Amino acid sequence: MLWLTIGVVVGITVLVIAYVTAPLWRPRKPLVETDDTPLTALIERKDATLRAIKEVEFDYQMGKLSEEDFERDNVRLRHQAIALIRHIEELAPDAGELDTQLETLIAQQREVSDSASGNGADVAEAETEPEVLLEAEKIFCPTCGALAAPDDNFCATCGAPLRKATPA
Amino acid sequence: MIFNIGYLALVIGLVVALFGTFAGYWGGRTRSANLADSSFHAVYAVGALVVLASVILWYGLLTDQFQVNYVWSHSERALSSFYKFSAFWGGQAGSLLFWTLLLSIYSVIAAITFRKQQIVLMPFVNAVLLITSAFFLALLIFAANPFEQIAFTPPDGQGLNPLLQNYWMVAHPVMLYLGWVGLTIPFAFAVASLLSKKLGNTWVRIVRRWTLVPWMFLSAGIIMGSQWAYMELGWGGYWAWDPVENASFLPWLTATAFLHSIIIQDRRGMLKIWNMVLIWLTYFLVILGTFTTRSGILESVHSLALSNIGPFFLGFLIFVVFGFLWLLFDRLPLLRSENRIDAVMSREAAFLANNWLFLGLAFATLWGTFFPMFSEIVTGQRISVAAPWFEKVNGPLFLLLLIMMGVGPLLGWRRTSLSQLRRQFMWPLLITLVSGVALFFMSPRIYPVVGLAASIFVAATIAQEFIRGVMARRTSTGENPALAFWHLIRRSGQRYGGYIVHLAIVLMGVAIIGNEFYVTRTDVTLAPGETAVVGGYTFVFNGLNAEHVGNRTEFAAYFSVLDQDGQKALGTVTPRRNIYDKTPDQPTSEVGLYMRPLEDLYVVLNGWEDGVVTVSIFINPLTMWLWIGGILLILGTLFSLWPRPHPRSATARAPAAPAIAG
Repeated sequence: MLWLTIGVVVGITVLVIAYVTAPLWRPRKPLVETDDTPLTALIERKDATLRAIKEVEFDYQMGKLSEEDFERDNVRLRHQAIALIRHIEELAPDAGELDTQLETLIAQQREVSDSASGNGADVAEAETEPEVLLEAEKIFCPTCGALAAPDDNFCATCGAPLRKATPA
Repeated sequence: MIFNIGYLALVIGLVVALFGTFAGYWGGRTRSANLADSSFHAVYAVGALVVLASVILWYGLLTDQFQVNYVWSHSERALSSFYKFSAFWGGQAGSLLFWTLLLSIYSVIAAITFRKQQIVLMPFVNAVLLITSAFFLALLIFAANPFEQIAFTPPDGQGLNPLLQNYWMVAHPVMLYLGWVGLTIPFAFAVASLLSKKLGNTWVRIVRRWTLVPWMFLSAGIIMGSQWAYMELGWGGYWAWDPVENASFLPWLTATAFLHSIIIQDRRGMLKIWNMVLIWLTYFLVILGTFTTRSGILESVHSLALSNIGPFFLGFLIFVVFGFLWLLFDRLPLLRSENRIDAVMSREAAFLANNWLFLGLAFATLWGTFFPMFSEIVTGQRISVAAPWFEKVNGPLFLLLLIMMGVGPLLGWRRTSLSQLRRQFMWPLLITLVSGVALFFMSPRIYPVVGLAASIFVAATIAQEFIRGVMARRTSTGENPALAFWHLIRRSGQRYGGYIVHLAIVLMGVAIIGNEFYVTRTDVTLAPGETAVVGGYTFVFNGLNAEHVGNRTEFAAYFSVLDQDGQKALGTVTPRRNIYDKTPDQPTSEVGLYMRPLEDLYVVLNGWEDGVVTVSIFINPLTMWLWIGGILLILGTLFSLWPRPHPRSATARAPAAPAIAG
């Protein structure tokens, strides 16, 4: 009985050791970061931004955001999304699906700007109008999509270099 | 023989877990796929070994192998197979093995799910999970061996603790452990992202689901525990701020705070350090809770035995505290916030206030739980803070939290303007004011009325959210109201599932207020045929009956319940007492219960002599809503968990694959 126990336990031990150490005898291989490429990070950020746009729209429809706040957030987020999608396009030009997304976004963006300038007739909202127009000239961080001043070299939010974005 | 194999399986498991911890950590650091793969194999191997050990213990329990000390002290021949099966987690060593079993299962599922997706994080995740497993395996091997054998085979076991022979008590620990153990997974991801310096928002997005599922189990476990206390302990209530109840409640508080604050990190890139701290506190409190329930360091009805596991736990807790804090401080520069809070009247600020309240509750509860121990260390005398202390301190915090629950969701991100505030709060406040005044006229007591009015306020805000949401969907899609409602909770499950959970909490809050302020208790002694009129009901005592069932004798007192005038029969209640053959000095109580939406009639059999019984009749207002709230809470969490249709993201992801290959 004792010998049987010892036999079973030794058998289990050998099996477990062989199984757990098996990968160590294979040829050495580094961990490949399929989950950590700049592209997947960008896509994740873009998805988050698109979600944020939806949420802002929903909040506005629910009356939680004033028109002014909604427009500012919406414009900012759409700019972010556009910057991110452009950057994804650069990294993966064959991402054909993104084209249409970008088109839609830009088209929607125009609508928002149009409606903003349409509503901006009264004095109170006149202030926001040039800001919306100005923002088109500002640049956005290709890594995180944050707004940056045109002469900045690095992103104030994430520290990524801003100039890399310009096509070579 | 077979039990020696069980024990040695645990020993091999410990060695493999320690090796896997090293392989995961070092593999992650040096980016070695070989070591990383080895850590995955270690997770699977530990899982298999722990399952093997568990099956062996179950075999021992189900086949009455009383030469095993654990089986002898927690089972008996007359016990039904169902309770023999559940005796697995009825005692110390077994429940620690059960912990380890669940952790192994969770670890294997996490490893399989994320092996291909989170290649850099996973080796570290494996390391954290395996070191937790290693700790519990070490406990089982050195301090609480479930396979310890006695030199001879006793003819029968000592029986399972009578309090545990109840179906709620079978399900309650399972749910609680599924919750507790599951919370190790988000902690493992947090530590993995610190170790790998991948401190973006990825881990937060991954762990939302993996926190919600354990959170749901933990909530269910706590509610089932309350249900058990209510039905079995027979003192009229469901929550006594007992240290063991607190042990389950503490990680629930921090996990709930975590679930809320990760929304801000995901949405605005803020509170990164805070989230790390919250999930670490949760993990710490889980281990601490296991320690306090298992070591008997805090006296309570649940602590079944004092044992030598204390020093192990203390050592591991110190390791968890200092190891994590060192890691966090080292990575602090990488955890900068991407945004600031812009205004007090914003959803971020509301979330933050909610977090502080949860943490305040957790600290107050922790302090009250450990105060007896501290007082014993300092003054040599054990001074307990009882339920009234907890109620006094936590009551106002809960009230504030309830109000925040109504306010927070109505605020917009970043800032909310005055006109927006008016638009959002006018109707709920109006409804609250009117119903508050009406309630005050019905019952002129300030605390419960304020509490109930706050509940009405939150319910009104939630109703408004649903109505406006449906209307917004209707204007944009033209759907009919029912379809719009369905799409609302289907498409925005995270938000509307959350609202359903909030509503569940409101219902439970209402039940708690009712029980806190409006309970009445009447003790009566009745001979067969006599009646008692209590709280607008007539109780007729029909007689006492004794019957031997399985391993116990059941004494049942039969009552009919009629209306005030004794004209209309409403139903019956049958309070019982069970006296177990093996432990006649520990009778258990089965209360007689007649539930109505507005109040429970709750009857406890206290004693009997020559057919004359003494019973306590409690009228517990609104208690039913506690259980309805519990079910709704689970339902809301499921809606929140359910994957929502996301066609856009799926197509956008597709082109990523060839780009990586190229």
